[in-house]
Amino acid sequence: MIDFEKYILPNGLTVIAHRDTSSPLAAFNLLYKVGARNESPERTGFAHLFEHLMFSGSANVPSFDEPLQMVGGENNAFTNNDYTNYYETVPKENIETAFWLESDRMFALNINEQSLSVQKNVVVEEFNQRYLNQPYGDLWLLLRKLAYMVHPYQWPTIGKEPSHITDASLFEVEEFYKRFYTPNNAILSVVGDFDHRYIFELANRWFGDIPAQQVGGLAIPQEPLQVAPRFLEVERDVPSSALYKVYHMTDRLGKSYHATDMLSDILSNGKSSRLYRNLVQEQRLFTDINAYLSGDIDPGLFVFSGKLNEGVSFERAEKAINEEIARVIDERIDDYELEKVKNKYESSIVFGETSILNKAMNLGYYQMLGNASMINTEVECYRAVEAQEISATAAALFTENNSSTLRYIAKK
Amino acid sequence: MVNRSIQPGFTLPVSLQIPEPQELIVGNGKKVLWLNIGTQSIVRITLQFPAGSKYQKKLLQASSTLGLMPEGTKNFSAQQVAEKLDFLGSQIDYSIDRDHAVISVFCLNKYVDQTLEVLKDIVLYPKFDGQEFETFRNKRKSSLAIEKAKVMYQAREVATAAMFGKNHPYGAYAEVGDYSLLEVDDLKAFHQERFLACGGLLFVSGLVDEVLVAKVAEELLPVVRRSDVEVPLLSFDALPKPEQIYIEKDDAVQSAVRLNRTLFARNHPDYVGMHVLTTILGGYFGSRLMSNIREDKGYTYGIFSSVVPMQESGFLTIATEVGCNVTLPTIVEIKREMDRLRSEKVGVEELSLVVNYMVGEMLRMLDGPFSIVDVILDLYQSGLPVSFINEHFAKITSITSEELHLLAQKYLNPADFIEVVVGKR
Repeated sequence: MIDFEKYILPNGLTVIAHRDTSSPLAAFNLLYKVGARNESPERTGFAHLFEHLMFSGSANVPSFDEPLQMVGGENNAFTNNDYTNYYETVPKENIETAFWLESDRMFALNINEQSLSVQKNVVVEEFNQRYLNQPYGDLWLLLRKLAYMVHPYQWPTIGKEPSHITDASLFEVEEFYKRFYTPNNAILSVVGDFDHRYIFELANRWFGDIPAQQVGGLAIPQEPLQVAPRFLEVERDVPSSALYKVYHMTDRLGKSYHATDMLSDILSNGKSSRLYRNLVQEQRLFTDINAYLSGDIDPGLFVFSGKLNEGVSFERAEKAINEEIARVIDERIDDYELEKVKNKYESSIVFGETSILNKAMNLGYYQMLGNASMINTEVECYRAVEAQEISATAAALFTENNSSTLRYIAKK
Repeated sequence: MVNRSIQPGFTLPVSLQIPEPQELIVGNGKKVLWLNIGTQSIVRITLQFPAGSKYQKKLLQASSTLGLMPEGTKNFSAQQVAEKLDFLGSQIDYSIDRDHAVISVFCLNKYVDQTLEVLKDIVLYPKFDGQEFETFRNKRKSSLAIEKAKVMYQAREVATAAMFGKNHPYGAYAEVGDYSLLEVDDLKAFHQERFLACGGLLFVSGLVDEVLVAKVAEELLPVVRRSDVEVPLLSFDALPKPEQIYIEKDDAVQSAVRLNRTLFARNHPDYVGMHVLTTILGGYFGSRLMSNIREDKGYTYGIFSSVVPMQESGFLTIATEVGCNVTLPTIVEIKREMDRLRSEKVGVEELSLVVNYMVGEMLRMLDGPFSIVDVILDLYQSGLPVSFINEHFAKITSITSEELHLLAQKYLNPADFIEVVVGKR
């Protein structure tokens, strides 16, 4: 159970404070509700490029990192399709430095041609390093494009192609900042050994005078119902062939979300799960196989991904996955297997609570979904799922017309 | 309105509070370490065996032994082992380096007994079944082939071999085909010799008391180690001369670059100073290499340098992945930064920034109920007491620019570094 207090500043900034007396450190997490899904199809990768620019200094802080390092702090950030998250850990005595730094870059970021040009290069190298120069690195570029026709989930956060990054202009950067980096579009969560009133006071002092702005994104086009299966084959210089098959699933707040998540765990969480046991250990069709959710807020993807064992055909591999799908739909999931999956949630939640940063991030995430208190109620949602709900969810989800298949063929 | 031009004040701890692990003597004078720490009802049980790859007689023997241990035991099939652990929500991590194999169990307090039952079988009675070995070997072949397709991975292997020699236990690396030369009997023999005969260091932490620790020790008694001393094994007399190695990959978009040199183990008097110096060079986001090569020139997504301590030696490594067309300019800049540290003293402000950052890093490293276990085990393997952390802290916070300057002159001569490029230049 995580006790927290919530307060909304007059300018719309949501602040959440949770007291943890066990650590000499404090965690500061600032989430902006903007991600790759808010980008236009002509300028993809922009939210992530912007995240890099947030480290270029602000009106009163020429260098973001130096003052933080000077007080023993560390920081980083990530961007995904739905949001952008900035975080610091500092010795708890120095928490105010995090308020000063983060509020200054929300207040008046220093944007200029020089930093934009360098960060474009850095991001293009990131694109090369992670998406082009790795075996299977372009997987998500291919898969998202195959599975989505209109929704911006059709590109990964790095963007569709490097030229979208190199073409970004200073004007666009400034517009993006004005549109999304405002207190009423952000959630601050702080975890450490503090009285919540002290955190709220600091929030008022440092963020209180930053004006709210009209948050104006484009409407996000929602994906129409898929009516026919989709296929793609590519050949690449990789050590083994891989099979990917994805299905459109419910959104994060959808009724069947927890059942869908548990379905993926029954199929593939841990070495005792069905796919690993049957398809890797027993039938030896794959050397590795996983089923997981893409983890998005809007309707995302249920993903199967497997590396084929030497000499196994794609037809055989696909058939084996379909057999497992049929089993989970037709045969009753027994109590033992259901209990096992639920126990794993319990355990991972208890272990997750040993990290102050993890708690701060989760509080921000659930607040973005609508209510930070979901951090305490999620486990009950999983506990409440029944076996037949999982089978029914699987039956609705796993139809051929709802699928996209990618055969990633190893060049011999 | 707040005056944003004034930075809030700050303080840093002047010493560290390090919980000292307790010792419990079991069996015939065998020592078990334990620590009651944290707020959640969870337990970590760790066994550290002198079973790293330096002891192996065939390539991949050590890692395959460790990897196959949970794949079937005297009392449980591979499937039952996985089933039981998953059902309890317990997790076992296996890790191995050149010196040690480490098995760590994480579980809820209420499931310690059931988890221990499985752990005991894995450690004491692994079966090394032929069928399971085939499946295991197939999986590992596939994942090793994927790793080897990455320029970064290849550069790391080649650079380590170039420092110590391809046939030296600290330099050797395997090819995918080496799995075919391995037999189940090799794994059995290695388990017998390095796990059962040598025993391992047992460390229990979390919300635990002496009763629980005694119970754990009782169950695992046959492999709780008999002797504190691990005898040095290796010779470093005939290390190869530094060389430049270029492995061309036609389809590369980026080159992996590595500059390495051998150093020393954690107990060397220059260790802490080199830790600070390497941090200044490339050990944090604002480091000289990051500022120059990423933030000024935009050549790379990241570049870092670090000191890697091993039980009997150690090395300094500088690594990055850069656009092929800037491979050579990057190497020039790396050497320029080394030379700058050799010719100019680090300024007061930069030094205090790095020292303060490192103080924060130490707090982060010691935070939470489990990370401290790793720190203490690292010290034990170098024959160092827990109080070494305090000495380390004191040394970091008192180091001078003059000392760092001398260390740079001693250890940062580019001519002493091997240079590896995998990709295109």
